Amino acid sequence: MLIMEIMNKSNLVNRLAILFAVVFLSIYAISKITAEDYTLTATESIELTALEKNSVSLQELYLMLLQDDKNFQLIDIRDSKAFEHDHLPNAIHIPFSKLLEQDTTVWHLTAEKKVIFYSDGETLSSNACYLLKSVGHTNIAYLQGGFTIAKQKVYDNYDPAYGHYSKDKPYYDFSRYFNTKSQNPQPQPNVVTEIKVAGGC
Amino acid sequence: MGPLVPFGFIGNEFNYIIALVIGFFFGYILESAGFSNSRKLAGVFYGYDFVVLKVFFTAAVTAMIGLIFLSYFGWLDMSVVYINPLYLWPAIVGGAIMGVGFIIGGFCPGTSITAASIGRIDGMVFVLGIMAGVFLFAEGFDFYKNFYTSSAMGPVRVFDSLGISQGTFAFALIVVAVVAFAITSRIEKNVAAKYQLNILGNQPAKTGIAMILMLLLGVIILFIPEKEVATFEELSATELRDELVNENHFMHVDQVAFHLMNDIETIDIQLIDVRSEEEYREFSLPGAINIPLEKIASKQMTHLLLEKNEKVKTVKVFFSNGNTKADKAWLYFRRMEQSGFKVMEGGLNNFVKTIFVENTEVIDIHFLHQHTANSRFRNEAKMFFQGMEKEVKTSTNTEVPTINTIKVAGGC
Repeated sequence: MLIMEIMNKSNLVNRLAILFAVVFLSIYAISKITAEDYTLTATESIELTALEKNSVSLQELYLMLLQDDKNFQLIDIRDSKAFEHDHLPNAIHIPFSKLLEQDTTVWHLTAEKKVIFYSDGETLSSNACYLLKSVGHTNIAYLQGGFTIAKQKVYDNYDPAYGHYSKDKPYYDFSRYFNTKSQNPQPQPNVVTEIKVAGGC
Repeated sequence: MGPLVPFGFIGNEFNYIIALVIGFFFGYILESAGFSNSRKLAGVFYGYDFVVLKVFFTAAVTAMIGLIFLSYFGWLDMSVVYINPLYLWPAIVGGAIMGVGFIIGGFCPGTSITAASIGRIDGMVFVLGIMAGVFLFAEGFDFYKNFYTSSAMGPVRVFDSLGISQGTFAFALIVVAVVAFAITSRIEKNVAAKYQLNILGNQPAKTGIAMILMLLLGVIILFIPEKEVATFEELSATELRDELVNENHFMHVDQVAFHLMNDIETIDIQLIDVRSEEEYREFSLPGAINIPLEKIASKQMTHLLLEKNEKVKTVKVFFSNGNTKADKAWLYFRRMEQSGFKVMEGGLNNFVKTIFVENTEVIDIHFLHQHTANSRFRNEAKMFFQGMEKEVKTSTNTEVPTINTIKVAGGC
């Protein structure tokens, strides 16, 4: 009976609706304020990695140095010990572990010139590139090969053989090491489209 | 955050209480909409009252818009929401039977309960009819058991089977709803004029605004990117960075080799080659499947990789030539707070380097104690992969994976 009485007050339903709307909107506002500053979705980040050229080869670096191109900035993202020991000329040091905190520096730089990250290999620098792109940076790339190779094969004396060196290229002829008879690669799982229908419960 | 019950915000034991509360409000809304009156309900078939269509269409569109936005804001994980599996032909036949019952009796099941509970005799008779139907159905179940479970299509959704995106479908449905409202209002008017019926007039201004708002929401939905996995929150870029620094996501090549050489019951690894198709065809590790990095974010592949296997704990290990591509695949899933993914440290280059190239010691059986466990293992691995010892385990997972949703308690 009590419930029926409450229900009869049609005002209450309206008030509840308004209350709900206000709560909903404020939750939304708070979530937007505290939300991460990703500008790309996870999917877009992957697509961008696949589509966009996001690395600078050693040859390109050499040519830029040769032409005295001032329009790029190298950033060393290794730890401070390694940086103090040796680094590429004119490189700024921002350790990977502090990369997103010193965001303002990077923002400031990318507005002016192309920023090229380098690390020991390509792992950390390409990841830095990926993370920064997903929070909205655009004018960034990573150096192929990494510090040691760049130092030896570009700065000390240029070796054209390393012009397109990359850690993500096959280093060895893999199939030579494995017994080819035992190789039986699985087919690509692109049969999924057909399976979809039969995926009963 | 949601759904609340599977994620433990509300205990399972409250299920029936919540059902009671929702049921009460459902009944109240049905009664408020006038659905306890079979004349009103039957109006939709005679063309003088389309309130049934309007209310249910509005409910469906509202729920759809709500779910899409909740999932977009990350407040609802749609992959945990139970979707009723579709049995195509049984559903069509069942729908037809229900439609016939609706015309004859003037009620659908929910509204008949509402009518009965406010004391309408026709509602009570209808409920008795439902009971009789339920009894007959249960008693005769053996006769149509085969048909009942035939043409099973799993928990498909309309836009999946049409091959369009969720946003496009939602927009189309909203447009259909608005058009249907407009047309039915016209029919109502015509019928009312013909038979001199007195129906409550619509308020054109208010209705117009509501329609425009709805279409606007539809347009927004059209541009909402579809998330494969909507969890409460994503890992922030800072958190991802810290995890990368820790390097806990790497699996050492020795470990990968060990898994390839041995069948382990409790934990299995699925190797995923994220290089291009050409590279995969040329060479890949035994048992590896190929999902090029650019395809990993596609709906099918994401579903495939997130599929949970209860029996065997499968760790999915990405690898490429180096770390670069494999790390990106890992970052994609890790950002969505998914665990159970690893990266083979250093990729294939490191695998070959560690197991074959830098492993040049010749083991003299008489001086085994002089070799470290590592080099002994690597020699074993070397011989294994060169096929000298025994056949390589050619597949770790020969079953063709299917797409499933996670089923939780409390389904329909």
